[in-house]
Amino acid sequence: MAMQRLTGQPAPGGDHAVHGRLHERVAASIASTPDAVAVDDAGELTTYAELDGLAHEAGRLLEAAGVGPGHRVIVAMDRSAALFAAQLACLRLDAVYVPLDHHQPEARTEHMMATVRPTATLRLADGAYVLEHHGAPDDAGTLLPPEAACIMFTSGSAGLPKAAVLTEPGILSLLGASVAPLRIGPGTRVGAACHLTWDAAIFELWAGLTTGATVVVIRTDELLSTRRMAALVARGIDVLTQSTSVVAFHIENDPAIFNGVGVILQGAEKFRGESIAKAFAAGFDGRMINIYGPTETVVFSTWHEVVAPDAPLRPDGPGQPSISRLIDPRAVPIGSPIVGTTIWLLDEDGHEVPAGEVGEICIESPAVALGYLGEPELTASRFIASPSGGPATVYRTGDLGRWLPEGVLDFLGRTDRQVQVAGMRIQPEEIELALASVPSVVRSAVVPRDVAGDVVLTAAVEAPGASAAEVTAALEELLPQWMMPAQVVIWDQIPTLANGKLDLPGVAAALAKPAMPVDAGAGALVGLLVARAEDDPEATAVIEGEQRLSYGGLLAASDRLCEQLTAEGAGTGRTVALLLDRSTEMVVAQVACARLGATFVPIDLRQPAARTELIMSIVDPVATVRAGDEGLVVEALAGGGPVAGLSAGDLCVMLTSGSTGVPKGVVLTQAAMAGLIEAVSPYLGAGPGSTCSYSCNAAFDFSIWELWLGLATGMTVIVIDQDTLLSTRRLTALLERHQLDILSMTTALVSTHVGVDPAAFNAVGLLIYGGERSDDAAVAAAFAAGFDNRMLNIYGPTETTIFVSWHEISRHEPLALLGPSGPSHQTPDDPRPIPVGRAIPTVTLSVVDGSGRPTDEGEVLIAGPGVTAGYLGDPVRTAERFGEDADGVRTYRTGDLGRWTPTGELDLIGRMDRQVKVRGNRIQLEEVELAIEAHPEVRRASVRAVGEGSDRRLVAVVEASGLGESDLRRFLDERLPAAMVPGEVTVVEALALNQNGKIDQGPVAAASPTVVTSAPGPVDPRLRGIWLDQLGLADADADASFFDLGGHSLGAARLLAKVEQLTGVDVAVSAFIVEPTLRALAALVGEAGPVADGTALVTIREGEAPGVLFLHAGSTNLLSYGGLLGALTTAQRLVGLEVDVLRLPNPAADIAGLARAVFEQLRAEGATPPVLCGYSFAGLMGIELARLLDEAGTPVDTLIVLDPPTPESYNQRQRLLRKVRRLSGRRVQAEHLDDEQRAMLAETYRRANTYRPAPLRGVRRVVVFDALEARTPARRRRDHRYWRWLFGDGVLVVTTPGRHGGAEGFVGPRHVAGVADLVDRMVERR
Amino acid sequence: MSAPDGRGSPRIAVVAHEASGDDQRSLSAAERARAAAMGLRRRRRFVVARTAARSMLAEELGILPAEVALVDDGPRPTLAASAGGPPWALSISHGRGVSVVVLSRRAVGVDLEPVVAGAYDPDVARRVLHPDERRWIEGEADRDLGFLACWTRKEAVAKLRGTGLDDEAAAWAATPTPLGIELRELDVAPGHVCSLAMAAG
Repeated sequence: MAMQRLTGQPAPGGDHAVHGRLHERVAASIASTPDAVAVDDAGELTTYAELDGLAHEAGRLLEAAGVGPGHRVIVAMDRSAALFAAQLACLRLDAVYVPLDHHQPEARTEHMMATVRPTATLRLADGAYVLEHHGAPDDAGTLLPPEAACIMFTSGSAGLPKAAVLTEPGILSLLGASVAPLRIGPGTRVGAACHLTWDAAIFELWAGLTTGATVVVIRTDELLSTRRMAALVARGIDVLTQSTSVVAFHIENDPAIFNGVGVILQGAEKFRGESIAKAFAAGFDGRMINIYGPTETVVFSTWHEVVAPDAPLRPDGPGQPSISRLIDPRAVPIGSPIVGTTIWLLDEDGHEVPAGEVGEICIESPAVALGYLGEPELTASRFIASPSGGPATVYRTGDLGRWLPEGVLDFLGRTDRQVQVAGMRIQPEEIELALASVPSVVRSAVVPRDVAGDVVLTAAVEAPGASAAEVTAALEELLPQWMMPAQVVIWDQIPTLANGKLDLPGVAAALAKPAMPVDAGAGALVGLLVARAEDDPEATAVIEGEQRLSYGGLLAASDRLCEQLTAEGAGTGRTVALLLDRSTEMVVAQVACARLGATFVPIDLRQPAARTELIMSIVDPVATVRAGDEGLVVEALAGGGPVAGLSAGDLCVMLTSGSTGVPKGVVLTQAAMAGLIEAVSPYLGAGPGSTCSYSCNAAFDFSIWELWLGLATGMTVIVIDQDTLLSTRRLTALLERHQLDILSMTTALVSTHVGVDPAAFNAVGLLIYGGERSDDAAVAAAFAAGFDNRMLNIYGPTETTIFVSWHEISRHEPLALLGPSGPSHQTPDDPRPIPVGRAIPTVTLSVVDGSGRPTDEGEVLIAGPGVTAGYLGDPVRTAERFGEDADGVRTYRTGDLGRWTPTGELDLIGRMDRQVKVRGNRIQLEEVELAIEAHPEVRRASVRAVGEGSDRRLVAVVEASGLGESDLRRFLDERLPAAMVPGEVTVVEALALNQNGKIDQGPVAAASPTVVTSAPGPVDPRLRGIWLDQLGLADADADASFFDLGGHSLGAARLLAKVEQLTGVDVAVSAFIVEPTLRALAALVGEAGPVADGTALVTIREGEAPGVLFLHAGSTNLLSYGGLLGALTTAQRLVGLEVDVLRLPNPAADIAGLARAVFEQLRAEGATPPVLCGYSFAGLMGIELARLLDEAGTPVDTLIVLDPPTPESYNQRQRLLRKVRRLSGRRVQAEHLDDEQRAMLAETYRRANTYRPAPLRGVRRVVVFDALEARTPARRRRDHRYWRWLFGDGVLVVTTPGRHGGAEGFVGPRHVAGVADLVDRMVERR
Repeated sequence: MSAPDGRGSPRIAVVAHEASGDDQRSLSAAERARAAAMGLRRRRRFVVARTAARSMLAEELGILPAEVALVDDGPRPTLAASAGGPPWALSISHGRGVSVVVLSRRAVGVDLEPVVAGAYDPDVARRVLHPDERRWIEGEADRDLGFLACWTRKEAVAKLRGTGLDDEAAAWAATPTPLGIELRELDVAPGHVCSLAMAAG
């Protein structure tokens, strides 16, 4: 039955006509049962006859005061027989009684008096009536019509109470509709529990007195004490009318409290089904009726009865309330209209809404009040003509309702409490209703708050013993995400009004000032952090450079941020975008979000803007956090709202790359993170006093791991900035300085650093690496270089929370601490490939075939509590990958191809989607890559399949130095079946790594055999100088856009003009703006010609790769190497780099500048041989060149320095000057230099000879040839000490006969053979 | 900020970089991410200019500045097509401590340059200015000012055309004014030269 309006139908033959007078009906009771008890007030009984006497007494006083028809009389006394008699007396005089709470504030009383303008006030003093006379109305026009019976004040939205004038026919109509169905009659004990100013008191009183029943006074102290209420019930209560809150309150205290009560009418608030269910379960067998109605239509207009879930349904005949079993405690309607009442559901224009839709509940009934006294406009707006066109008045309740299919009315809240949050209309009541069904929740109030112009809902919840997180979690089961309050705050007690209703304005306080976080989400993870902070607030939480922050300081800083975040609407179910690099600020921001239960999203600031846009559209942040001039800045975002699928314990959203290019959001929960940390930290030895790294890209899950591992276990977190992370030298220095206990790093970065300096990680206690296949060669190299601690190879997709398996490599015995649940283990000498190992304690790993059955080799399936809920807002992809196992544990299909080793460890073979078929052969691309990487010259390789059909072939991009493609092909031919040998091989200096430190497959796919991907390296300092000058900056990233750095087009024109002036290269604007970076500019200049005129790369002798590079600087050519070059017998290619200092644009440049010029030249030529040799001051250039190549990630293997200058050579200024004079003079005699050239040359030599290189590390082997006759023994000792300082203790110093140069020189004809022999052997035996 | 200067005329806002207090509330999340990656000086002017552009558009569209949908897939922000109505053209130029933001119904380009001694560099001029323009500058008493006037006119036209500075810069002249274009000198801030180019109405 779908309908818009419904009228309560009388029972057939029933008498519900509204006639007679209330006092006449009471008179009938008095006459028929004068000795029956009319009022039972705490055992003090008043018979009907006595009540009649009291009423006469009051009537005489009133009459004497001139009270007559239409007059108002204030009755100001507690509920008692005297009160009831006074009210009866008023009606007998056709006067209107106005109950007044004499405990209420003076101001309110004054307002009421002014509104009502009473003739008299009747009070009680010492058990006797006292009348206060105010004066009769002076104008007949102010008299109320004869049908007026009483005035009830209702709270108005403007804050001032409104005086509703209720009629006697209205009260009679209520009684007519309810007394018979409820079987109230002589002997019935009707509780008078309601405050006299509440309209329900009208029902209690007159339902009792007009039927000859007994009105049982229930005092307020009894009403609010479960014990006293129980005693009262024991004395007998047949009908109890009370607010939902009070009924539920007692049931919660004592579920059996109302057992024995015949009827409970409860209303004024949302039905508390959970509580009522408890009463039924405790044996309540009376009638439980939900009543609904505003004061303006007298007590109640609709009613609905609920029975226990297993109780039989009494047929709900005409006149009876609608009825249902209490199955869904939340879904209890307000039922059917009482007899004589018609319910209309109207829209804002007063039209009936379509069936089933929500409309304002409008009540047509004889009980509708006459209006609001003294408020004609308000009356006209609320009391309207019946839509039926009839003469009746309809009252617009301001409540929202809809008809349920079974023809009963469902209450949806107040129109005036309706709020619009993020475009959605929300009734806070609906949230309160849901909260009411949460078992721990006693009471709740949901109030809107204005946060920076946005409406945000906050739920104040009275829930003893429950946390906000628990309540939120329960609420999420009940409400759609858009209805979730932004914040749940646990209160000890929620303020209520005198009538037991919630004091909503009172609640909207407390809340006005930002509610301090109760560590709402305090999930597990934050709980651990807070516990650490409480244990030792002084302990250092974070170190960044010279800056330290204690755990106490961290909490304090996050407190401040929490307040800002709350004010901007952040909270449970909301995301906050963190626009921060990894830093102390980032730590504070993450902690603050976690404490609020908000979910943070670290944004990679270096990623393209388009990707940022995509991510923002997925995570829809409510606010951003960034670093401002004076600390962290929180700013709300337009449109950010609750994100579907997020809840309080959700720590962060990680964005993983999707194959479609659309990132997928994975939510890591605090619980899963805490679970992981608790499961593995005993093994890791993590705890207070230890240090760990914060070094990974903040948008990468590995960084969440390292940071929170540190914070949750009380370690000191060391922030490692990007510059340090990418420089082996700086990183090693930092690791040594902090003696880092735990370093987490991607496999690719570990390989890079070990490649530069195998001893880079020697100071680290535990190196955790992962993200890619283990680089076994790098691991072996590190151990060979003296690493003597533990390494842990870990594996796990973001989707399963950081990592799920582990494998230790160390010379130590595996720790027995975790027994079989600890990591599997092998020693560095063990030749087996390093697997990803055994499952961590909380995880079950399996290898399954296509139908999910265990198999030897197949897809890796992960099951455990760390498996995340899926991809945010992407149920399709979630369903593809996520599932549950037979035990209900969440599972994730990784797409990784794995197999079990004989010793029971998981070994990864590759990706399922990297299995390709080439001419019928099934090939795992990773297998080919492994074979290529087995070549000693290869650092990394990436292989893919291209082409279709018979043209399908493998293409490899290989990162190596000085490796010939044919050489590699021969190598592979010996090791791989023909189908697996790549058809094309491209050798590059460096494979690009993506932001997460993994091989960036994008550039690899794009690489053609002619494209060389360059690793970042230093740029010509002169270009850098021009660049920075133009931008007005002190320093800048060489990969940053000119325009992003603040440059504009005129600046670009000036820049290019300067570049042309300096280098003679005219770079086209169009070429520059394609990639307006310093590095690209340098490349453009380099492509156009030599970096610096005057350098030349020459082949001395063809031969095998990789060869030796001889450096020379001077005004002549390589012949200064004397007979050395000719004496060498190595088959390797010999290359020479000549630098003619006289033809350099700036010949006075220092050695470092020269080395940079050479470096650029080498890069332009693609020639970086692994052996460098420099003679005399070209040896210094060799040092600087080796340093640059190291920093560029292409370190040289061997540096041979032939009798280089030392500080000792020139420690006396006079000697220096003599030498310069001699040098320049000799050149002038021998060669065709003019004076200016001579001066330039002299200056160059002067600079070279006073040059002081910084210590050089990162070269595997340094050999210094020391000319015997160039030094005195004392100076030799000092020089050798200097070289050890310069090159490290490993430097090999060979003292060889001869002078520094000339015919008697150590490379002159007499002595060169010995030197050549040594150099040959070094070149061959690298 | 200044009000529109007449019917059909562009709206011009001149904003000081210090004015904002680094308030990014009206910026989109992606704009904030961009700003966060910038240095202080550039961030300031980016935020200030974006905020001004958003405020102007918001007034025209009757929405909040934060609700203005700007698209950043080219050299300058444009209003998302979904915003409806005839298109708005936006042009922004930054000077020393001050930016100018122009909003117009017609194609528009604005360029602001601080006046610096030695602005005129024949090597630079040769790369970007037409011989006619260079001759014009040679006839000016203050060649620095002359160069900047020529340059800003040219840059404003290039921005209007959407070409920006390119290799052809020296092949055409914006002095005298090209056909179909209105060029105006704006006095926006002391020590600056500013030119505004609009498609002739």
